[in-house]
Amino acid sequence: MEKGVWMRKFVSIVAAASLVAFIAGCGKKEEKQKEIKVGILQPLTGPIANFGQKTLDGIKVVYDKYNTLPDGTKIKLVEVDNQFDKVQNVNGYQRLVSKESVIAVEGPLASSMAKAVKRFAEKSKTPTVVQIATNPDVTKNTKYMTRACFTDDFQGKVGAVYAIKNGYKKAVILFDAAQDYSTGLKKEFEKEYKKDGGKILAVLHINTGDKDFNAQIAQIKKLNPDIIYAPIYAPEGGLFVKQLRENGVKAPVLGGDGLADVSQMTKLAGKAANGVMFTDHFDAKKPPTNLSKEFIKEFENKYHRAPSAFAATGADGYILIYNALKTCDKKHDLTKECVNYEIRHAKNVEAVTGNLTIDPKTGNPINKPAVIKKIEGEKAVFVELVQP
Amino acid sequence: MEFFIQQLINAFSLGSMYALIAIGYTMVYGVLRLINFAHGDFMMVGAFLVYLFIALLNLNFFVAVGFSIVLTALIGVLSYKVAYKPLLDKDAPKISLLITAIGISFFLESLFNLLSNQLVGENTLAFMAPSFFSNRIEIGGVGFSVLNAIVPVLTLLILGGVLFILYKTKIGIAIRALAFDISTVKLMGIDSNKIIAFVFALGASLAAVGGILYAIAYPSISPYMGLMIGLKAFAAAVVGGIGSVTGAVIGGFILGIVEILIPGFFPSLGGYKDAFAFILLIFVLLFKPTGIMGIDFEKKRF
Amino acid sequence: MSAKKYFSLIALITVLYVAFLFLTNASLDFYTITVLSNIYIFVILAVSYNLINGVTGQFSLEPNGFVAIGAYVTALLILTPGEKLDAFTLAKPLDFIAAIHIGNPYLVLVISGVVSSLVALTLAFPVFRVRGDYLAIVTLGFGLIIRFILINNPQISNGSSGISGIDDFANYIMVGVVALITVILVYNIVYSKFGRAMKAVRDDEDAALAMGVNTMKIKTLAFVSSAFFEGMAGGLLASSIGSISPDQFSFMLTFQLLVIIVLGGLGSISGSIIATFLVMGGMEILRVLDDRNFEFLGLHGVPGLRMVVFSVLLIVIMIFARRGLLGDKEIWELKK
Repeated sequence: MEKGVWMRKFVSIVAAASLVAFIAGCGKKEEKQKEIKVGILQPLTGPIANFGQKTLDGIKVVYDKYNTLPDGTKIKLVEVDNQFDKVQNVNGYQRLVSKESVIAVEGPLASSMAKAVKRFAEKSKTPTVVQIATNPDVTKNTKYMTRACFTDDFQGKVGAVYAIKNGYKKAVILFDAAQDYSTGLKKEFEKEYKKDGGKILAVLHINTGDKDFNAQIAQIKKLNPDIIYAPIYAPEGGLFVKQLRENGVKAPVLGGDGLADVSQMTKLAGKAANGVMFTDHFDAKKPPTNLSKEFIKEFENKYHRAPSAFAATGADGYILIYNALKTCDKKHDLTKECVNYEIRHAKNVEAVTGNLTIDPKTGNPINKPAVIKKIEGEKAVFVELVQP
Repeated sequence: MEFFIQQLINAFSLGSMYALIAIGYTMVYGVLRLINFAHGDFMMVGAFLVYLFIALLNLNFFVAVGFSIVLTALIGVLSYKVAYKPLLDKDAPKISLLITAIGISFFLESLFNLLSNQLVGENTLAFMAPSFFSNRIEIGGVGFSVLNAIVPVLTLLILGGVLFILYKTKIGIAIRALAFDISTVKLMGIDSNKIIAFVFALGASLAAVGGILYAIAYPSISPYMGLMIGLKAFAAAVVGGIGSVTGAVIGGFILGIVEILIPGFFPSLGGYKDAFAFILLIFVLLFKPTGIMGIDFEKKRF
Repeated sequence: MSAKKYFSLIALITVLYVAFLFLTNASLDFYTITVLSNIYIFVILAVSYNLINGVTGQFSLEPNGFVAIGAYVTALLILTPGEKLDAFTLAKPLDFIAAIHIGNPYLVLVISGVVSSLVALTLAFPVFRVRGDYLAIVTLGFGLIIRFILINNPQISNGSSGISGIDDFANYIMVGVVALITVILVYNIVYSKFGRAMKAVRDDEDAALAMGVNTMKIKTLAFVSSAFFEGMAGGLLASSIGSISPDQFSFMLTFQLLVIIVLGGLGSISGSIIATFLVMGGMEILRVLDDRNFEFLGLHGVPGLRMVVFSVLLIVIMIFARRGLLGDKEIWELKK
């Protein structure tokens, strides 16, 4: 009993002391001007840690080359993990903005996280480049949020246009009701597909984590569509395609960039993965710019594998920021306002997934192409480039 | 009609996996009156260990399975010795045990998340089983995989084995006695410790088997998959009658049928598939809390 | 303590505390303010969760469910019909969902709490009737079912896309004040005759029954009260972050709260408050464990390590110091 009481008192004192230290240590800080900080807010642990890590890999490759400004100021990357948790996300963002005093933030990945920082970006007037989050809401009505990739609108549209163009006039949609991304793509595909004269036989849904799709597949078999649009993620997509073929359904499957994880698709579905098509941001085999080619080379040297769309868009987000910093540095105006302006008004900035031009009114890139790829023999084969 | 039979086969397959996990749950509850939240995670551990043994050590699939079952059983015993036993010895209140169970569950999930990310690079992995399990058999227009055929049979054999242990061996009698009245058993000079450890080992290894079979059928594994499945297995155990091994198996099959057939015939309810387990649970609690095998805890066990 | 002494003490604490709030609000940076706001919300959650788990001894895993309910009720009430039509991107909201609007944030919070309590009332009936053992599993399942309902009914909740653009009425001062009110209310429950009955149920339910305590009623009271405050906290959370979606109300939230109340001492209000600061502050500080650039004694930080450490912490506390920091005493009772 004695020991217990002592232990408690001791811990209480330590607790009180740490609390005081914590609050004291969080006062305002002054920054030395020899370096400037750029915040990277990504999900480095948690359910989509994979995406966040890949993004970081891409950022690091471009950072290795572009980390100093014309006047000698060094750029420092401050990485914060939002764990894909809303509260951590907001805390992380605030930490970057007020504690680390970053001049710009890249991230966070995923529309739900990106939407959550909107309010704080506007309040703190911090230029925020969301490198990959496709929901249109992310940049709607904001001045400081800019997006480096295409939106759901676009991806869904591209899918629909491609399907109609290739004669697939009757479709069944299978989407993941639990994923923002999936419901967004489904909505846009539906709209465009119907507009172009396609007929939607049914809209079926699954939930993230589902493993057994036999019920939905039985329905699909009955309906006999020309094509199945499945804007879901690879863990479910792989199993779905495997069970689909096992049940003798031969209709082709078209999805979004959620299916771009070819190695996972192949591991889960084996041969059934062949023929699956999807829209994507980037194809490492068809680099659209010189900077792309360089990037792919450096990336492969450093990591011994080809860069994914996450790495590519991660790099692009950083390039946008770097470019803006460079321009503002030349103008001797290294402030958030200048940086934001330059990001928002980026014109033909050479990047990894193409040349980036941002529409200052919407914060979205104009003329970003999408790629259609097909899985063949454990690799993704380029099918065509679709330019809006 | 074929559709119905097809779905029924799937249902038995899935139900068997729930059953295997439910057996362990029910046995630990019977002996310790403890809902071991970490039990569901043993299923995940079983699957992950097989994956890691194959991916990192290049072991043959069946060898990996063998090692995994043994290692998972050890982890089960370890969790008892390190976490539950100290509390039981101190006569800690029930709530402490339950909280610790959650702690262990979370620990296993975080640990394997960490290991998976560090050793393999991602945490949602594609389980690699020998492809012969996916080979299709067609009988009278109804198609199913080799796995679907094996699993229910295997489960019933295991059930037979467990019942044999419980009713025809010395240790089985000891287990049943413990479940009946733990204090008297201790008074009789029987080492309750060893017996409880055995129950944990057995339960965990069965969960591992269930997990491995599940991973073969649905090859996408993640560190957090055990949580949901464990809960459903527990619901199955309650439906069948908590404390009864046969009940656990029956409950597992019922759950499998409900989960597969209802979305099969009412596709719009597909989104609620995972909720059926809890709806069943609430029903049982409302109308027949002792479950199907109806064991009244003051009288009989298992 | 006499009534007069008690009220003057409360008044003094309130005045000092509000002064503290204003002072910190003016002097600390945004980051710290954000973190502190979150901590205050978690204090509300911890203190109410402790009511059912610690004071009444019924192991429940309900917070994430009630927090979700409170958050969504707040979001749907506080947004104007026009804003709602804009915010619902996946499906058109049901007419009555779009139409309801209450502008007063305090009223909205109270309603959020009430709705949560009503749901708690319906849950309490099947569960408390049988064995308390099952409360944990049922509440866990309840959290999951709420999530399913939210995801699969976009006409009520906008499905997986969630609702954004929620008014930020929950600023630092307001959250701080609501936290104070909650603590005072909970304290009054715990040290009332109801609280004594709850503790009796916790310590020995059979004895309590024998002494004429209506255990079912007391358990339900504790559960429903917890739900009320948790619902309110959900509303505050929705407003302070500004956007909500089904995936943010997962079991993780409940687990965090569990660690907090166990660390603080099940049944101790002041313990829960201190533990909230420790755990939430600790989590921010322990970020380094996940950082690959961090080095300690030659070992590197590794992503995911933080959570492993956390769970080990919980297990260790349970085995060696399961009474937590303060056991079930308040900080001013420590001398006993």
